[in-house]
Amino acid sequence: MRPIIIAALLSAVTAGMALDGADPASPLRHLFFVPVVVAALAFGLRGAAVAGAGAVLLYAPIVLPDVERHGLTFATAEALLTTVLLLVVGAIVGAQRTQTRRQSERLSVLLAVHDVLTRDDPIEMLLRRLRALLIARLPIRDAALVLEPGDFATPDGEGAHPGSLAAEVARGGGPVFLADTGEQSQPRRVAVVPLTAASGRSGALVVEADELSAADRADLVTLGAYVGLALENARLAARQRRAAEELDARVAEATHHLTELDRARSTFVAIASHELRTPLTALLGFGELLATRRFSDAEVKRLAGIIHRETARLVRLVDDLLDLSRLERGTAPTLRRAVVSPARALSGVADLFRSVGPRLVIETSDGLADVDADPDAIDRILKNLITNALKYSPPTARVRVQAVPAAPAHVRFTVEDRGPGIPASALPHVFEPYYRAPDAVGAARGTGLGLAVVKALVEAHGGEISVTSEVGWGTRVSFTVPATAGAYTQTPCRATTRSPTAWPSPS
Amino acid sequence: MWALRHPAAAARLPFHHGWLESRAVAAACLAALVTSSVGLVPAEVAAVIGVATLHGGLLAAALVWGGIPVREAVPVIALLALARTAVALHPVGAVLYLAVPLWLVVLAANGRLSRLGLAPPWRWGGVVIGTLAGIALALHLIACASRTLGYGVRVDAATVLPALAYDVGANVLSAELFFRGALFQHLWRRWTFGVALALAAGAAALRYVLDPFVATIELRVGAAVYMGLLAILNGTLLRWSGSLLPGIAAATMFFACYRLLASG
Repeated sequence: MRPIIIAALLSAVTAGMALDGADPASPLRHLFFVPVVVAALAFGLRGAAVAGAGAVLLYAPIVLPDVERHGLTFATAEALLTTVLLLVVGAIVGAQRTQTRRQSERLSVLLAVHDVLTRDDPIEMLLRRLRALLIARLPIRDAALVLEPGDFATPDGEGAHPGSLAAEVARGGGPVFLADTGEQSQPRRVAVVPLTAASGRSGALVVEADELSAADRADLVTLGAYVGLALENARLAARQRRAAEELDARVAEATHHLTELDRARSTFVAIASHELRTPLTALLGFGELLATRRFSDAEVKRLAGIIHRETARLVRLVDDLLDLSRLERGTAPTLRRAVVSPARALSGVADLFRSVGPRLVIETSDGLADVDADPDAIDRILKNLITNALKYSPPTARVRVQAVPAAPAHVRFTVEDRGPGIPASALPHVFEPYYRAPDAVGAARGTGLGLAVVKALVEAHGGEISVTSEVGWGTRVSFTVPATAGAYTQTPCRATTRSPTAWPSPS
Repeated sequence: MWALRHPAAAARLPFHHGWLESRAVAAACLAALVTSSVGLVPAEVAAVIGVATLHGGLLAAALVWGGIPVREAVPVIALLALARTAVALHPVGAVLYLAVPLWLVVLAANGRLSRLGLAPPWRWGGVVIGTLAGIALALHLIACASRTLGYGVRVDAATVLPALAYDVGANVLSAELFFRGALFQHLWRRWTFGVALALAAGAAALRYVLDPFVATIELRVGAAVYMGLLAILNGTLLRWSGSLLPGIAAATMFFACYRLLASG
């Protein structure tokens, strides 16, 4: 529409001058400036040149006859000056308009590049979008971004030949301008500019266009520097995003763990309160009975036995609570080391569980080395493990306790039962404080502290503890304790079984 | 993309391989032209040599520049000499000028003039626009010439038609193929469109200003202005259409209208 208006204005001014007697000095000639300036403002330098040339061509048949007739007079000179001014004014206004438009477009493109490269997308997608943006917004035929000097990969997968102009610039060369590739019927310009970043060269921007003026090339160099920086920022942002995501995952995991710990702790407090209350109630009740009534000697003895058992239970619970306190403070249990015979330790424990009869199978080896350990701690570990094994096994199922040599210079104790077993998902947590396997809750009483305390005691000795289990077949807990220095015998050990019952093996 | 596939060294390869040979042909023709114009030979012979060396030289140089072997390009000089000789004998001999465009059509149809911008497919829309643009420029010339110099319009077939055959077969084709097809495109592959157009238009205008048959100062000024404008117009048409054909149409129409001018 605008070209038609400009042409109409030129025609109107010419017609007006023709009607005015075709006088070159007519004031109407100044109206030629209107379409020329309008064209300059609308289309820049090119529009001004076309409109200016049109105005001069239309004005020339009016001026030239006067020049031919009168020669160079003041009037003809003034008319000729008008033609020159039409071109000069058009050129100045058009050049300013072109420059302003170019600056505006340059800023607009930079803003669009910024928008693309700050999106929260993978870097390959950003590069594809950037290429599409450059092709759409710049007066070019094609564009490519060559990255990573190692393989010169382009986002669209085309790749660059290692000896190509693009690879040469990406490796560290300066901007290159090629006036023509010689492949097309019309010239095809190529500009390759480096993508420079604060950390060094990051690739090259390749552009093919029909025309690339010196100003276009300078703009491309600026764009390359900007894209280089923006790419580096995008990479850093992506790295930060990944780090933040990892951190979030870790925090979530830790929060979950803490929540579970808190829940377990609450459960523990409830259980511990109940466990404390039960023996205390028994002690209070039986103590009151003894104080207020008269009993036979046998009855007193029976009541005293009950009071003793409940007191021992209370002591165990208090010991567990103390150990819990130590575990939470991160301090290792205090050990009073001595030379301990594994066979004697097992024998002592077996006496404690005399009441279970043949359910408990104890196996030791002759010539087994003594261990360097706290006898009370060993006793407590074994009692805890055996109690657990008995507690979670069916009433008739057997529990095997074994002590064998273990390399290097250790003795391995194993407690094995034929209980329901522990699910694989619960195995990694059985040594955590307060943890109780979901199936165990309700099946038997417990605070969830026993195995945590056992682990702490074994590790305080410098040993290791492990658990293997198979649901429906049973559980095996093994721990090692270091043997006393030089006490380990080289003679093969011979197994001694205190219970004649054979131990069934899984088939 | 070129810069991704080709080694950096390929960027230094020349595009026009016939650059040296075309300059040799042009130099030889220029020498013959100068020789003929200093009065060493009779006027009629000088005219034959002038047409053959000026237009034939430009045409042959353009063809060699565009990749046609010298042995195939140079005969056009003889062909134009023959046509000019035939015109000297009888005006109908001007028909021989039309052998040149026919020969060029054969070359173009075989795709051998693609480097000069003459190759199928032909865009007839561009030809129409070129024709209209050439008529518009010629009408301006007629208006200016009639108002300024008092020229009128005549329709004399016996004079106009041989001149038109000369324009079609020698004048227009040699100018378009050399100044636009070869020189302008060569310059355009090295500099921007504006610079290349200015240089090629300047060269084309200069060729007419220096033409010994353009005798008066008014004609020289007119030739400089209108040949410059025609060169700018045809260069723009070449860029827009990718073909030399619209420019040839514009120039043909311009010269056809020009031939209608008669002094007095």
